[in-house]
Amino acid sequence: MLAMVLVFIGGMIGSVWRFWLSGLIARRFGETFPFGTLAVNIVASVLLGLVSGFLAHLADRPLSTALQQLMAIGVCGGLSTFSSFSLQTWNLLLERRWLPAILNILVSTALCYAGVVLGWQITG
Amino acid sequence: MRKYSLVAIGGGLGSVLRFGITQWMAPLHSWPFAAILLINISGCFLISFLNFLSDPSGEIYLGPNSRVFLLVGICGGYTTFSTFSLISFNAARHGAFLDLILNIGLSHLLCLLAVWLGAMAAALFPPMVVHLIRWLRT
Repeated sequence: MLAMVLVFIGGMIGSVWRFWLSGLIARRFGETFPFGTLAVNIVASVLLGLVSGFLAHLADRPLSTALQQLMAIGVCGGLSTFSSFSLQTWNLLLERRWLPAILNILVSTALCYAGVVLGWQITG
Repeated sequence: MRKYSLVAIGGGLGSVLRFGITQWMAPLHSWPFAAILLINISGCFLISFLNFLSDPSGEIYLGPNSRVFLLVGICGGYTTFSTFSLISFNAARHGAFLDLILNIGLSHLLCLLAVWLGAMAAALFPPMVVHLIRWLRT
């Protein structure tokens, strides 16, 4: 039950953060390319790398589990999104903008992977 | 402010649903990427179905608040890119490069396929409901 509450609170924080940050970036850089979703996914991946590296050192099991549920599953999971990413890629494909669509997939995958590695290198 | 509360509640619910599915699939000892893959595929189907169903040109109207709650909150909180990246990284760390390639390839391919199916379902759903209601009346 505590696990559900922690994931719920983390998911609330992460999702509100995503809504705010992706909106901010979309207003700043325009919506011709989904920069907002790309940015939140990168931020979430760096944060998840940091949290995972930190948790790998933590000896206290119950605290480690609680932190994983709140931060990794809740905040990082709520902050990042695959559904908006795929829908936006699909919309680029519908508009026959092949290069931005392929770039969205490649850049998202590469930078989010690099983000996890970066976070993990710092704390792991 | 109303929109932020809706995103918060939807995101919390979506995250708990994602957590529940991973917990439920954990004892099955399936392919380690299966749970997140399944979650992302189903979330992509749902966001596409709801998006195209409530399109300005679509048949069913969803207000801006409902769209934010369902698409940004529930679907956004339910699916995840960060865990997808972390499990890819873990596969690479353990030298499971085939798993790494499969996870990335299948995720992108099947999620786009799910978006396409969601759009198809959204196009077929309103006429089917109309037919069903007519059939029930006769």
